[in-house]
Amino acid sequence: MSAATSLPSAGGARISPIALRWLCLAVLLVLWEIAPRAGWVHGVILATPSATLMGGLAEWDLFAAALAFTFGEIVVSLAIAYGIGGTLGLLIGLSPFGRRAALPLLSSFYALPLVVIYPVMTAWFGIGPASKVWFASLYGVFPVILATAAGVQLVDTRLILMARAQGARIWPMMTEVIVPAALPAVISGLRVGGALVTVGVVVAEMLASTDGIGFLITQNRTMFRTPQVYFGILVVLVLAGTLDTLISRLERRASRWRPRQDDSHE
Amino acid sequence: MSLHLADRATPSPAMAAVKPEIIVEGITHSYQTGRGPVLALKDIDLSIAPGRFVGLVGPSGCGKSSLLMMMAGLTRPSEGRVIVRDAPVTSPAPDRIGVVFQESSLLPWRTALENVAFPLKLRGVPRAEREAKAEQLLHLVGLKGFENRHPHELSGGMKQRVAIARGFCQDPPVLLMDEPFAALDEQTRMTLGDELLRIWDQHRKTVVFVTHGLTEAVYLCDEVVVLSGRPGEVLARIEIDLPRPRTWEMMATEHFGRLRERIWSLIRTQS
Repeated sequence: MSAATSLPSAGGARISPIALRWLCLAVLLVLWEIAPRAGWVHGVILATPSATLMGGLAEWDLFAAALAFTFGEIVVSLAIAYGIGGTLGLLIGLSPFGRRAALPLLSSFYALPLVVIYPVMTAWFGIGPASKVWFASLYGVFPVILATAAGVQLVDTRLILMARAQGARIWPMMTEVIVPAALPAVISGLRVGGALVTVGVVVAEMLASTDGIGFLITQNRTMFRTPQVYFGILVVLVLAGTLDTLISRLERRASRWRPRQDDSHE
Repeated sequence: MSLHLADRATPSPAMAAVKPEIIVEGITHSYQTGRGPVLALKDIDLSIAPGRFVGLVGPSGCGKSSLLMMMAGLTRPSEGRVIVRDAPVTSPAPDRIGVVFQESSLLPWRTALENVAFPLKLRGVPRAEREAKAEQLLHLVGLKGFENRHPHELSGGMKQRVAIARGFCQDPPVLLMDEPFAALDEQTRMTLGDELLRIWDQHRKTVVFVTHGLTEAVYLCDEVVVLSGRPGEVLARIEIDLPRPRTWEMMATEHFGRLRERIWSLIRTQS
């Protein structure tokens, strides 16, 4: 079996990159299954994929409820991060003063390890969902602001001049010229922001919480229920992956100057 | 039709009595640079009668494009003012003044049709109505069948056709054109010039046409205003008394050559 799979790659460029990617994944999965069974790694440190799935699915109700809770927190945080980040980014990107004063400041904030202020947030908002939402929103807002501000500055000034000559005032200028032109850059910011929001929510749940996937992972870890820990991690990965896929699909749509975008005359 | 054209053939004496559509009054413009102020335009006075096709030529950097931007209300002159249709121009006035820009200023995320309809969309004209008009104009510039193409799918010449169609779709009495054919190759430029005259004949407007091309200026215009090098001043206003409609054969005539030569000799002494 292993000899057969290694043959094509040895033979040269006959295997496609996509197939190779899946192959790597499969090999990894097999190694993961074998390692604890063969005694290379202790079972408490690494649970096999089969044990992970069985352990997790046996408590699926628990995980599903926690997933729904976490998902809710992520959605609210995303709405806040995108809303505030987009608006601030637009304002900062459009004003020369904002660009010079706020942008360097925000960039350095972005570089800070914001996790350190999470304890402060629990003091302000308690250990319920509010502290998670605020922390994750703060965590995810910076890339959105920075990407939006950068995107706005990339707008072709000739288009702005043209729209001005047509008498466009602030609002049509935004909706017809600036936002569509900045959209591809903005969406890449949404992608990074989305990932950070997910991280923010889960990490916050791990640190101090009473519900959610992050809480479940921590709880199972303290009880040495390794398969359930790994199942929780798997759930988070799937959640983050799904979110990223959704946003990158949006990205592709926005950057190929969409043949049909807002048509309503059908 | 022929009567109408015969009328156009004898412009200047009759035009003098008509109330001007565009008046440029004592425009002087200077701007700041790192090495101090630069005087770009000096004491420009012009008056342009309705329905005239007027060219604006001059050496590079003479401020002809700046002057056009002032006529459009996009730039404020340091001194003086522009009056279009009896009202001063202090900000863009799309109902009175349209602008066709040098390079493609089309919205890349919009189709050709949506780009042409854009001025009407800004004015709140309903979609069906504005797109019907835009379609008509796209056909007029020879782009039937390209309605749903995006700018990146069009050639440079086609993009400028769309930009011209947009200018006419906006339908202002005054159309300012800032080197609209500068980025095009010679053949496309000539073809588009003819097209422009044909459309202009159907939708008569007062046109101010900034260009580097002297042949183009003589071929298209009723009158060519020659600006001097910096600071730009009006050197001469040359009446192009070639009959309309203009034809290719006219370019080979001695008269055409003399007109072109007059403009060139004025500009040559400047640079």
